[in-house]
Amino acid sequence: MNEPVKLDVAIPDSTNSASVSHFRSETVREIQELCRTYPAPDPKEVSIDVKWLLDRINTPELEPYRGKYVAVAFQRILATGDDPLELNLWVAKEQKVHPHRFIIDFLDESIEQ
Amino acid sequence: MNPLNNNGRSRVSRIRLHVFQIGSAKIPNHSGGIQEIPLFRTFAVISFSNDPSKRWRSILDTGSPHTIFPPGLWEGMEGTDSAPIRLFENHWDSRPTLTIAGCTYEYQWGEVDIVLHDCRTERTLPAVRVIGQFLTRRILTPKEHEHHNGTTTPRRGLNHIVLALSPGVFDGRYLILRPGPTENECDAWVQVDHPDAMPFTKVVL
Repeated sequence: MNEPVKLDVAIPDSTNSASVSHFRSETVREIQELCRTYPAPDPKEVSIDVKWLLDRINTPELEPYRGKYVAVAFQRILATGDDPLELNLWVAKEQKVHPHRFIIDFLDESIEQ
Repeated sequence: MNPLNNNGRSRVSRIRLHVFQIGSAKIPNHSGGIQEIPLFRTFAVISFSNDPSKRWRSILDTGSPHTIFPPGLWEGMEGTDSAPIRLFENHWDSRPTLTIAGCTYEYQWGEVDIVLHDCRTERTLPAVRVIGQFLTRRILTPKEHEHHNGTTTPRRGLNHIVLALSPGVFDGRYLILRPGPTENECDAWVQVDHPDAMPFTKVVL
């Protein structure tokens, strides 16, 4: 399996409303543009990837990615990151696919109380 | 009524829920020792009605009064005539806030049609219009501000869509529970109608 890319995007100070809103609206605009550019994915193909992920949620295979958002498609983890919106945009651009072709999911860390 | 047909397959509309162990808790027992009990969370796979390809693994939260959408998971799906999410106008001077998963967020009310999916069988349940809280911006505490100087680690916050029981996508639906393949597993389904099943909103998982 290819190593997923770790995405490290600088997020502006989330208390600064103006900068966050500009930053995110630009990302949203780019994602919407990619949605218009690439053909809509086949839901059955996405289902295969959802199944792939669900079968592995509690397995050691995903241990290195816990505490991160992961982008899953083609039955592998393509990239990980801390911001789902940025991850969505980056993977769609990188893979040249519709932004809805892959799943963005957060892998929870194990809770010990 | 037997919900299975002659081939042993379900003849009613139902989708599978996913129950995962997410950790464990150590509690004292009667004999003075420590007992470890598993902690579980139940997830459902959802999409918005006009876009069956975009899927999210979402938490079923029996205690949540509303369905909640974290920032980053819904943005970009609102604001046009064909977009699935319709945000309501905010009539307050400032955006309302809510605290969840240890973090405070500003939010906006809105509505979206949610479809429940079973990715193993490709079954879906009909869309339900859900009014929910769409989180827009996280408000950092003074301590979390220090994170920018590298002195503290910010809390993770909410990372999954939270599905409330009622009002929500489970309204008027039924929960079926069956023993799973091992003693640590169970199979859980949501379905539209079943005479022997429990109404979802009366069930505590």
